[in-house]
Amino acid sequence: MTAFKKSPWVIHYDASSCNGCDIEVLACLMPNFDVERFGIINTGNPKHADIFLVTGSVNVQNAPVVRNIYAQMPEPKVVVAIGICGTSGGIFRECYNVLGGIDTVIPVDVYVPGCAARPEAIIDGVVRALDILEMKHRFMETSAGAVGGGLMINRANQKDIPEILALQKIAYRSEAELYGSDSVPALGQTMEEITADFDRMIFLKAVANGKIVGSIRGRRDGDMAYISRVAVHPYFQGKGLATRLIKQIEQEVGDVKIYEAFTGHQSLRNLHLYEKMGYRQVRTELFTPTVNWVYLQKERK
Amino acid sequence: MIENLIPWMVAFPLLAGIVLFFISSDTLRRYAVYAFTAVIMAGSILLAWKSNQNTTLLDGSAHSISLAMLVVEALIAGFIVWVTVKAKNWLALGLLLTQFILVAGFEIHEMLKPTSATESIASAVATVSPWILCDQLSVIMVLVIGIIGGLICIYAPGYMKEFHDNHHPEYRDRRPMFFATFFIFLGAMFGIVFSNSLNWLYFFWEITTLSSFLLIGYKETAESKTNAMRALTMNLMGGLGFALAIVLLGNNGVSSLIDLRSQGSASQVMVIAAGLLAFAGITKAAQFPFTGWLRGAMVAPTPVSALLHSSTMVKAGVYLVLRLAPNLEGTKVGMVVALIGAVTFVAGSLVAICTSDAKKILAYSTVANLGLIVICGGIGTKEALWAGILLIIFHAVAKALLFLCVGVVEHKIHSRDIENMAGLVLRLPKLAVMIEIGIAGMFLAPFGMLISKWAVLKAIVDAHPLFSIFIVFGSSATLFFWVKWLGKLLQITGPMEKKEKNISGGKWTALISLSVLTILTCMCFPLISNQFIEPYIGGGFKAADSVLGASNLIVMGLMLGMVAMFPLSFFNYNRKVKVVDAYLAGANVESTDGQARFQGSAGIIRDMSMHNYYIGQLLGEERVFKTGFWIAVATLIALAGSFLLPIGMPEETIRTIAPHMLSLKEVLIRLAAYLVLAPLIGGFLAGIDRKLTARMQGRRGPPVRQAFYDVAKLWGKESIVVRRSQNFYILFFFLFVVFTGALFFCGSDLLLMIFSLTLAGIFFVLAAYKASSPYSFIGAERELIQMVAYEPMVLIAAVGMYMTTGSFRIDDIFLNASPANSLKLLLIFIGFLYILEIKFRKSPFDLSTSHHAHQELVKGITTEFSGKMLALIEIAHWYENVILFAWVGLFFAFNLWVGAAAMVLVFFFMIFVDNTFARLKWQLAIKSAWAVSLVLAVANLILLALWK
Ligand code: SF4
Repeated sequence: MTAFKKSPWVIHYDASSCNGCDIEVLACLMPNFDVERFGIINTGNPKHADIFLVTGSVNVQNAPVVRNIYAQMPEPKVVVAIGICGTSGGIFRECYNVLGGIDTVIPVDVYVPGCAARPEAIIDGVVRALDILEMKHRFMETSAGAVGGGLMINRANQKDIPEILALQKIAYRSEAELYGSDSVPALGQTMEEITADFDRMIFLKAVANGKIVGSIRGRRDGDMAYISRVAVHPYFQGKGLATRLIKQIEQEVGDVKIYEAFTGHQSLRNLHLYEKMGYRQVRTELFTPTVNWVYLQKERK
Repeated sequence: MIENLIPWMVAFPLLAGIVLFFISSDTLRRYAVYAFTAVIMAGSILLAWKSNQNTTLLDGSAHSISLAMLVVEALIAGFIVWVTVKAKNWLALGLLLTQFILVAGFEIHEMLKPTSATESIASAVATVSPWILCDQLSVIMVLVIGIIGGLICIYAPGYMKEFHDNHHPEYRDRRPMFFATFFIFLGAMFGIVFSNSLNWLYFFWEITTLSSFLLIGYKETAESKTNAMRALTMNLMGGLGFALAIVLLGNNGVSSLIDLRSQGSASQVMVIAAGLLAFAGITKAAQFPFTGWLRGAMVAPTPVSALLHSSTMVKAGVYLVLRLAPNLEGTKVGMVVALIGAVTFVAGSLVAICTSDAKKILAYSTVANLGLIVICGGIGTKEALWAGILLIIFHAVAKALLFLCVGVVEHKIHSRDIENMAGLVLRLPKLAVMIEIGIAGMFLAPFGMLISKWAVLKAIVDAHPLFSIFIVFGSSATLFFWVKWLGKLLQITGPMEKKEKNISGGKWTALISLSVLTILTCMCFPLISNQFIEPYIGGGFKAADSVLGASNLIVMGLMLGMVAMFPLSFFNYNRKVKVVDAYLAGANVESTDGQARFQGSAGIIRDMSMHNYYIGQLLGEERVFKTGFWIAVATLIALAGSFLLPIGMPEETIRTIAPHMLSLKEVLIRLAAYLVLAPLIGGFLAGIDRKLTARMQGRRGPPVRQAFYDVAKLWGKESIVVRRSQNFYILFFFLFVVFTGALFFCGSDLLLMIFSLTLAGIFFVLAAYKASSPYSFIGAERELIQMVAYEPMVLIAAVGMYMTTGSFRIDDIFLNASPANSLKLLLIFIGFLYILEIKFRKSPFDLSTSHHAHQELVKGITTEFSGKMLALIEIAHWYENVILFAWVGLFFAFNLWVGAAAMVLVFFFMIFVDNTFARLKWQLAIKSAWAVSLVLAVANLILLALWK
């Protein structure tokens, strides 16, 4: 048992809740339930927090706030959605302005149902979140050493698809922050779309400790190979994993003359990565008013 | 050769001034200025090099020179009569006429004397003391005037060109007159510091008065004219005092500084005359109630302010006061002079808090620091004199640098408001660094001014302990505005354009030289002290023994070394930290240009911006100014009154005890024990605190080990920052807190330990400023206010311990502890408890940050720190708390059990108060802390004085 389980600091955000669940969260902090027994502190500051408690459903107005607070929490972090509103949108689900549960904007680790969720349930949720937090922490620690030896890159198969999609959503979150919108297509991809992709493309997965932490896909079309969706888990970013994935997919797509890849114009890190690997920018295309696609190509030697 | 050099040093700038008056070509003038300045600087250095002992000069032609001076004096008087009549300033006219008649009459009378007598001229001369005096104090002053004044001269042509061409075409270009006056001014300053004859001194004194009048009135606006006239009137008041002193002394056969010095404070006449001269010095040094003229002098172009404020004019005043120290020491007059200085120091510092105008802050801080020097002169002991001279040097360098920097900044950003200097590190990086050096030189340990302030405090406690109250309050006020300024320079909220172009070479030369000088004087101060100050004070005085102590020098060297490491940390700049936006309650709006924005009410997107607290509403610039003015007037009346009373103060007994020295092995053992045990104890204390708090609130609370879990967890978290360099400041905060504890437990100097702790606090505050987030910014502001609130009491506690045990060294305090001593400090201890609540950041003073969730502040000063850095902050607090509790124990160190019991009781008391009181407003926090400190400290110090 690490200190992570002994000292969970929470931040509580009230999305569009009826306040019922909020009061229950506050009740947990009061003498009757006294969560400080478990070292739980309400920090009120994402930069200090480990656990993000969100009550209520997400609407257009507060979606950016939820996303923002989540982005400002240091890793490892977990999200607990509280109340039926937080899990699915609850009774507000059909409102014109409501997007749904918390998981429509950020990944949620624990769902605490109830209307309102009882303090016991909330505490139970947090305790479950602790296991996940500790797991993430271990995962984060092993990630440092894993890239060199213990990390395998293989072809992905059909049953990896849900995990790859989940990874993609985590990995592209930072892209969404860059462009300030959720319109990054990798984030919006559905299960059906990715399954369709799988049928016509080669998928690679990078596995550490039995978990997929990176993926890439490529497709051959005559003399051209198209590479897309380099996804690396945040813990593994900046450790040379993307480079390895690109090299591998270049080999796997087989005998072509030219490789082509694309990325958003503000994703300087990606651009830099491709250019370091010998890719040259060939053209840009307007995708949305805020995003331009930059296409890069490399000739095979 | 030195005999020829001295008159030449005076004559050359005067001649150069006359030459410059006739040069009308801009380029030619510039090069002439550079050349003349080079000569003056070279001359100053040569003089310092060559003169090793007291040089006095007695020239046969001196009588004819005196005659010539009389003629010039008459001309000056005529000119002043003309301007005062034109301005209908009858007061000034009256002052001038009285003093002129007094001095001229007296001089003519004196000149006629030898011829009427039967003796030959030669024998008459033999009884007359030399006209010129060049001892170490003169040399120091020459260096200050020559080098710093010279650098200001190099800076001036570029500045004045820009002033007229780009910024103020509306003013008449009178540069020939400007530079002529500038150099004549320098010549007169050299004259002042070389004169032994009081008549000569008076002559040069009047020239500086006149030149300052001309320079302040340079712009020829109504405002500058009034201010120039005010400067003239106030300086003439001082002149009148001077003239009276000359006549009074002349009638008693004293006509020179050396004579006066040898007279000491033996006779009442000498003391009265010294009082009159000190009065002249006080006016020139712009002490309250004569501060008005220096404040007004800011209308003049920046080089003038720099010249008047830092190196010359005002220094002439304090120079004279320091010269009088032997006559003032231990007298009532000296006491009143010191009181004026003390009032000025406090009032000046307090006024400076209220404003955000950089030039005003510099001006008031000048006034305040001169007050400090005047205190030294008034007290007049050897230690005080030593500190006073050191202050002159450090202040001249750092202040000149700051003034010149602000001048350039004003031209570049078109404002000299500190609020507008945000992010100067991006906009004018080199200048920002220079301002930082200047500010560090002004108040940070272990730099120049702080060493001197420390020495002043020690000197004063020996002579007049009550004066230390002024010092402690004044210096905590200065802390406030300097740190705020530093923080403002660091704060970045968006992209900024770099504007550091088109700064002339002359300006850079001056600025860079001054920055280097600021650092050099700090590093070489033992040398300066050894070569110049100690020989001047004489009588076997050794600063290292009586003021500083050898081990303290080592400690300061260590601190300097640590601070010097700071720039090194930037080499490790691009570490793997994630940069995220500042916390804006989730309302951040993504931006691509780097400007932080948020979605405000009604969905309007606004730029994030931050502004400082000013204690303006609390104090009010004008109000403090007026209060200071009237207190000083009252003190001056007391000065007049004190002439009538019998002279002489009881001799203070100076206690000396042999310091208890540690061997290296002992030091290492203590250090190891401290480094390991302090965080352990601190961590458990934090845990017990939380447990007890929970019990008081009817909860079970976390386990006692909880604090360690928290830190261990934080250590495993990811590091995220808003600004990459913010973490370096935290590292230094941690380093200095740990260092402070090491000082404490190795029994070092208590004052030094306090300075180190303050320095640590400043790094913490700067880290939060640097993070540039509104919440950490408010936290930093409040932390600063807390520091200002508790600083006086902390220092007073040290002073009280010194007064009971006779030493500032913690080991000696420990060994000399006795129940009686503890009882004697009871009131101070109560005050200390009050501010301890602030220091522990407990309710009702948990203003800057708190473990309780205060949502409106988020986490205040720590908002933007996460992961390892937050863990470091936490550990630093453990160390800090252990140090503070150990200090509580030190109050009761006569018995270990009593000490331990006191610590435990205080601990419970703190927690009890924390849980039973609501938070106070910051205004109330600072007011109440100061009031409590003041009342209890004064009462206790008076009791201590009676107890003896
Ligand atoms: S789950 Fe029920 S109590 Fe909780 S916010 Fe939704 S409606 Fe309110």
